[in-house]
Amino acid sequence: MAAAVGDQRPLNALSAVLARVETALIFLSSMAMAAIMCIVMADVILRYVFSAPLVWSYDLIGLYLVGIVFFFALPDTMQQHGHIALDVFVPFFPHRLRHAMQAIGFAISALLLAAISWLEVWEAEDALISDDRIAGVVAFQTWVAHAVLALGMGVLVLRCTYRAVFHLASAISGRDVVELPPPPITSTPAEHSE
Amino acid sequence: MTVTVALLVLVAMLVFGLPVALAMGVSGAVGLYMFGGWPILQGILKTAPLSTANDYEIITIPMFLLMAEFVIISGVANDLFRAATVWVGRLRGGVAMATALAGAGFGAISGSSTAAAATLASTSIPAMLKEGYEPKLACGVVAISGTLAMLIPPSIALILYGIIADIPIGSLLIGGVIPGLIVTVTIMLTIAFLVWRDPSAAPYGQTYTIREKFRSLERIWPVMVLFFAVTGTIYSGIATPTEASGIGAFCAMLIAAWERQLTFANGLRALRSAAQTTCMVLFIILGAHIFGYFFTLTRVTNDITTWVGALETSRWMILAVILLGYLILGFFMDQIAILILTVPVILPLILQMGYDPVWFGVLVVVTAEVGMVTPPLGMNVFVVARYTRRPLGELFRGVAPHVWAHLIVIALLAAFPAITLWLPSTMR
Repeated sequence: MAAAVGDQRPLNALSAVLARVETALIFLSSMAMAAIMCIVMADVILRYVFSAPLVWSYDLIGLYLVGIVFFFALPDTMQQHGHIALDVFVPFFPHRLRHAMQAIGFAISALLLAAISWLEVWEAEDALISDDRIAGVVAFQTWVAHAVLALGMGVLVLRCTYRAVFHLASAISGRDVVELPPPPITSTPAEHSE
Repeated sequence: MTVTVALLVLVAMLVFGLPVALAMGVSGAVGLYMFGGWPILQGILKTAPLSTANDYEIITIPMFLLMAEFVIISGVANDLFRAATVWVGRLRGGVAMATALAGAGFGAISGSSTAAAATLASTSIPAMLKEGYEPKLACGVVAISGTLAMLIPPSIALILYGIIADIPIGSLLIGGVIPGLIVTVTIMLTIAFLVWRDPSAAPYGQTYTIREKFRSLERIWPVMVLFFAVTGTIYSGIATPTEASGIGAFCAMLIAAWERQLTFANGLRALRSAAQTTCMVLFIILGAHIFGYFFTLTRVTNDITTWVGALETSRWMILAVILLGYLILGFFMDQIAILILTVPVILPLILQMGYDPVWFGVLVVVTAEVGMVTPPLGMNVFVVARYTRRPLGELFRGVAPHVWAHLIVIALLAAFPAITLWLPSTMR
């Protein structure tokens, strides 16, 4: 079940630049994760010991922090091949066909994600201009949530586009010029030696 | 036609190894576009991503994942195995039985099946091999014991089921307790049967005095603290599952610090790992939302439910076919993907047949556990193979008797829903 927390090294300069942005975003995502833990713990203590809960905790976590954890981790998880995929059938396809299909799949995915990202940019702009806020004890601004989504998805669009282009190059050249997922753990040295 | 095209896109993307989340999102979007054009698709794309993330309840997933990461850092799982060995190790096959108990204990403080298998593999397999256990038996028991974490609370799989099915997560988690204990006992009985049939597979272990036995419990206090911080608070109604998840993660961090294992570097690694796994899960939920809207608008779920409802077959036969389907899917797909893909379609059917959704959730997770140890995608077996460097064929053969025993447990839980539902009914 666990996502792979590998250390996928970028194969070229373009991938390396993207990886830097992704690393910065996953760091923010990790910090948001730590913040959620601390806020929930503080809220529980204040609620049950001092009868003074943090009235803004639900909204802050639900509106901003979960979004930061999720959307800012998206591109790095993709770069680390952490999004689960069905890899049992892949070895049965010819090398070039496999790359070609991955190129098509990532290109279509990039289009869908770009549409989501673009729509969110507009939503963020509208919310910012109209100063849209939630009806909570603390009136948090909603444009931040849209902007977080647009940024995380936007970087994921770049990663998917990169994958589409370089899988296509791999399909044409017959060489692997794109980062591939680590081989599934289905063989062991003992097995090889048999 | 629209449904066929969307399903073909889904299957093609899955077969060619694209991420499950993208496969579901793209196929759902293609279907929605064909069904209602850009206006409908635009409406869904505007709402689905934020509605996936802007949910306070969903923090149970990242917090329990983070708790598991800190538990692994702290190393308390090793003490759990040592204590279990002291208590039951003297029996023939006792260290293997201790592994099952340690698996249950680890399951009570972590919701990750593969993490449990990895931790048990690194501690109990060397101990069993040193005592002269047959490798097949040793590795098989570790792989199956790891699956207990999927069932015993806090179970990520049950939480996910609760979120998808919109069922109280607390009831689901508590509902997993007794089935989890039954599976633990079943693993121990299977070991007893195996060593009775072939005594050379496992020797008798060392005997310990009562004083040594009680002294061994001194090291498992962190496990008890975490168990009461999570399951205890949920059962007693002191905390909601979301609060319990935050408390659990925080307590696990303090335990890792107390054990002097928490450094800045591995703390950051734990946060990053938990963030990535959370992201993986939420991304599939997002893809499933888009796909789910398509299924709802095209009334596929309704049509399936109506069709099955009109069949002149007993509801138990339909349930058996559904569980068989879950077993077969478990051979090829990740358990989380299976839950997200199938529950929105199957659950209405289950409710229509008059079954309890909490009971069905536990039953599905117990069934999905089998997929963790069967070829070709038995993740727990792969994890054990990675640690032990033993041939996969041997490991799959080692776990096979446990799979048969597990199927008996599934039949038992299906036949007697009260086994699952009694404990949640006593909750405050």
